[in-house]
Formats: sequence, C-alpha cells, structure tokens
Amino acid sequence: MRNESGKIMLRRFIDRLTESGLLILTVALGVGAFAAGGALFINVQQQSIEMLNSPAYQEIVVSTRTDTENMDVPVEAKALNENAILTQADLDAADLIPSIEYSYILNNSRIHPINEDSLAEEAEKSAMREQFQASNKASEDTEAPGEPPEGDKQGFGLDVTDEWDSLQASDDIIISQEDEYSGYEITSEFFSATKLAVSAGSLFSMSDYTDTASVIILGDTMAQNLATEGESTDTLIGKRLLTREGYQTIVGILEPTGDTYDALYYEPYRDSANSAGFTGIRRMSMNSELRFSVSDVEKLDSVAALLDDWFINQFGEDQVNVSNPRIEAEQTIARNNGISLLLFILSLAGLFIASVNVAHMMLSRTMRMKKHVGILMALGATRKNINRLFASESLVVIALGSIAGALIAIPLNIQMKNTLELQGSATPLVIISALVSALIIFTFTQIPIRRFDSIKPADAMRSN
Amino acid sequence: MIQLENISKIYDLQEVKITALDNVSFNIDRGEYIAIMGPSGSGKSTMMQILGILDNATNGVYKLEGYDITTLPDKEQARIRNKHFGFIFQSFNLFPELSAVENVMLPMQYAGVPVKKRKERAIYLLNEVGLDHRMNHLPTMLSGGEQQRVAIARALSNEPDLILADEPTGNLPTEKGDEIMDILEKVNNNGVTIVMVTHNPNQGKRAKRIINLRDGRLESSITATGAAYAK
Repeated sequence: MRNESGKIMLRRFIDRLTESGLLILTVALGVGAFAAGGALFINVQQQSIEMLNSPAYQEIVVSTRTDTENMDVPVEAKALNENAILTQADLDAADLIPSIEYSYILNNSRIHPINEDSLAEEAEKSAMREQFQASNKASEDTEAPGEPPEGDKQGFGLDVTDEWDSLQASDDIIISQEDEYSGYEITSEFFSATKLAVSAGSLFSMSDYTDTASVIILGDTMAQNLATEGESTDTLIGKRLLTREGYQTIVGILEPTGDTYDALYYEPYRDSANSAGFTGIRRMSMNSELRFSVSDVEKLDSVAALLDDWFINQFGEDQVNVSNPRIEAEQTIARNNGISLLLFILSLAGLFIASVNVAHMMLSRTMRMKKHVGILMALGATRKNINRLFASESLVVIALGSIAGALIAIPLNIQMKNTLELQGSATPLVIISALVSALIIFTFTQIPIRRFDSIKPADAMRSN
Repeated sequence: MIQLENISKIYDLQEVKITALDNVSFNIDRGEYIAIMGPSGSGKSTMMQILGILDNATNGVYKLEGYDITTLPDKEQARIRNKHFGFIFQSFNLFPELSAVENVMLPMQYAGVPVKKRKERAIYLLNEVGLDHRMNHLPTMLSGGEQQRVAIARALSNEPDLILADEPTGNLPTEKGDEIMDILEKVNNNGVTIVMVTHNPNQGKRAKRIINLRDGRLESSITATGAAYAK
C-alpha cells in the first residue's frame, strides 16, 4: 500500500477484524447462494433446450418387452423368453408413415482390447483350466465332475500369443491398455438421424453393412484415447485395433459433439451375425432396438400410435414396446424447471438480504468515518477521492466475499446438479453468476457513500 | 492576499435561524500574523471555516489573490485547500491509524508528490518541529504537545501560503502552548501568513494584528501595539 489514505482504510479494516469478517461472510453467503442458484437455473434452461433439440428426443424407440439392459439375465434365458425378435426388416414400418424421416437400429456393443494385462490374465486362467482338468481326470472314477473355475466357459476369442511380439512392433496395429470400450452397432441411417459427421476418414459404405470385415468409426474422445500422444487422430485411419473380438479396422473419426457420442465407437449392424462373430442365438438375444426419427416433434405421438399398430400386427399384443422418450424428457424438464426456479428465487432473496445487510454495515462504517472524511477534505481530498476510497474498501470486501462465495457455490451447484441429473460442467456459469451478484452488492454499497456527495468539510468534521 | 467583503453566515436550523457572521469585511495581507479573538459564540470558528473554504458563506464575497473562490467547483476548492492552506486544529485531528510521518505525508499524496519525496519532506518537517525520534509512533503514543507539533508539520507539508490555526493551544498546558506559539512564530518569520483563533490574550498579543469579533460582527481590527489597523 503506497498511499496514506489507503493505509487508513486497510488498518481500520484490520483493527475491526470481527466486523470485517462478518461483512465478508455476509457477502460470501449472498454471492454463494445466488451463484449456485443462478448457475443452476441457467444450466437447467440451457440443458432443457439442448435436450429437446437433441435427435434422441425426436424419435420413437421400439424394443422388445424384455429388459435389454439387464446384464444379470443369462443370454440363453433371454432368448427363450422372447417371442418377438426385431430385425432390420422391421425398419420397413417407416415406409408406411411419411412423418418418419430416418429409421435405424441402435444396439449396445462392447469390444475388449488385447494387451499385456489381458494376455497375462488369460494365461493364468488357462493354467487353472489345465490344473482343473488334470485333477478331474485323477478323480473321474470316484466323483462326479465339479464346476470349472470362472473363465472356463467363455473362450478368449482371438489368440495372438504366438505373434504377440510382431504385433507389438507393427505400426499398423493399435494395442490399447483399456479393458473395454463401449459402442453401438448401427444401421446406415443412424449418422443422418443423429447429424454426426466424420472429421477424418469416411462413414460406412453400404457394403460395410453386408460384408464380414470388422470396421469401426471412433468418437472423438475415444480416438484421442487411442492416438499416440502428440499425434493427430487422423493417423488412426486404416489402422487395426487389436481386440478379443478380432481386428477392428478404423475407417473414420467423428467430429466432436460434446455429447456421449464422443466416447463411443460405431460398427455396422448385421442381422445374421455381428462382427464379433456371434451368431444365431446370440444375435436373437440382443434385443435390437429400432429407432424412428420424426422431423416434426408435434407428430411424435401419432407416429408412436401408428408404429404400435404396425408392430401389434407383426408380433401380436404385448410383444413390442413402442415408447416416446420425449414425453419423459418433457416431464423431467418441467420438474427441473420448477425446482431450479424455486431455488433461483430463494437465492435471489438471499442475495437481496445480504446486499441490504452489507449496505447497512457499510453505512455504519462510513458514518463512523465521517470526521475522517472532513479532515481528508480539509487536507485536500476531493469528493471523488473520498468516493474512490470507500469504493476501494467495498471492492476489497466484495472481492474476498465473492471468492469465498464462489468456493461455496461450486460444490453446492455440483450437488444440486447431481440431484437434478444435469450433465456438463457449470463452473463457468457459477463464476459468471458470482460476478453478477458481486456487482449487485457493490451497487448497494454505493448508496451510503452517496451521503458524502454534497457534504461540506466543516459539517463532516463536526461529527465525532 | 485575501479580501472578505460583507461575509455573512446563517445556520438554518429549520424553525430557528442563527446568524454566526454578520456582514464581516476585512483583508489579509501576505506574511501577516493575525489572531482572531472574541468570546464564545462570536463566530471565530465559523470565520476560520469560511477562510479555509471548509464551509461557504451565506452572503458576501471571498477573494483569494483577486479571484472569487466561493463559487469554484469542489475539485478546485480541494486543490486550494491542499496547496495553499494548512490547517491546525484544537483537537489535532491526526489519523490514529497512521504514524507521525504518515500523517505528515498524507496531504502530499493529494498533491501528487511521489512517495519517496513526500517521505523525505515529512522527515525534514518532523525534524524541524523536534520530533525526529517519534516519527514512527502512532498519535496515541504521543503527548498532546507532540501531536500538535505533528499537526503543524502536516500543515506545512505542501509549503502553504496560509496557515489557519483554530485554537492550536486550547488542549495543551501553558508551557506546551508556548512551545507551539514559538513554532508558529518561526513559521511566520519564514514568510507564511498565519491566521489563528485564540481565547488566550497573551497568545493573541504575539500576533501582529488582532481581529475582535462579537456576536458575529467585526468589533475591531487592531495592531499588536493597540493602534487601529489602517486598511
């Protein structure tokens, strides 16, 4: 601090530490409440718009009644319980309904990279299998055979043990250290419906959907994960990812979307067998999910009704589930809007109460400084100098309070976001809201300072 | 240097109007040492405030070097107070948060003097008033006489043309008061005009001219020898 008037304010601030601390705390609570509430409100509005504009909420989903996501149900059991098996041929329903713009299949898929860890794990399981078989052989005359150890039932898929060294040395082969990647099997209209485009390589050709060759397109994040550090993701095009399911040739990389699409891979859907080589019962058990994209969201309900009729005709009652995800999305949005609006109003009330309190405390501080103001003016300070002095004190209090408020608001906002199941980081919004609330409080603190706008030095000096 | 023409000051206390000064006129020449005297309520302090542009007169004209300064904007009045006037108050009016040297440096901050230079000058002035050993002490650690000497050093910081001292020895014992009077005399001998309000006739006699006020009116303006002031 190089000027004496500033030192006066600073030392008064330190001398009245409890009062100064309370001021900062009041600012922090006001800013914290508003920053968290305001950021949440804006975040909800933004995500509501994004959600309703998302292609995923402009389509009808058709699936079999069985819970396709229930991984605990054995594959065989699923297949036996299902009467309706949805295939690519069922997309023909779209031809009868003009409002449908695109139709496609979207199935969950997973691939498992082969790397040193997975090879070591497989070698260990193999040794256990051999040990188990030897032990069974020794006791086969006396006891019934027991259950083999875990891992015995499912084969390892592609066996590369013998050529591992040459694969590692190959520039053409990508060896990932991840255990697993998630993705989708898709049919050709998926990319049009979701408006996804490639930044490198190409989308699948029509022959990719009928050939047996394993080809994949990568989301941007997954591509960055696989690319060598410092190299462009474009260099992945044409290379083959080594997985238990086989060599996956990378043909394209998608432009970043900032959505869940980025972390996934995409492979062509084939009715008869997928690229992992699963056939027959495996394919039947996968509960293909059909999606029908509608250009006019107002017609979603009527399209859903028409599709429902079509699938009842095909498979009978209660075999296929036709759902409209937008209805659920709209309900979620309405709930989130209501909650966030309530929280926003409460946070605004909190900010207002804090602002009034801060203004009142600042008024008390400035009134106690009245004689100081008179002396400063006698010594040559202009009213502008005096205003600046008090404004700088307000700024220090508000800056410290706002930093503390933002630190309170960030975890609070994360907590509220998690409760409302909102995506993405809202930290920039919290900071912007904190700045707005700091500005509002600063405006309130200027009210007491205005008392000195027309005061004469002699009047100010008369006070004690 | 200063011409006061028919200065009046009326305090409007809603139902009651109090006339503190009533058509007072006099001149102050450069280098003068004037004592303003009179009983309590005679308007001495109000006159000091108007002279120092700490307050405005209700009526009348206040000219400094021929210019009417009562209508100047706040910024200009502040500049005049800062560069041309020095104030010494009865209750010292030092800032308790600042050390002696920082109190002296303060008016120079508003004059735009760089930190180093204002510190050098503050140290010089504190030496001049005999407080070189108390520079970094806070006012609460100084005696009344020492505080008033810091206030004198502060008043001299921007080399003013006029020192306005409102009962500078009012809160001090006699011997300390005399010390302050000696310093003021020394300052006046260096060419600085001094206008001092006092109740003390002995201190008044040390001035070269005495202006007596009574009930807000100019009763007399006499030289130290008792002769009527000619101008």
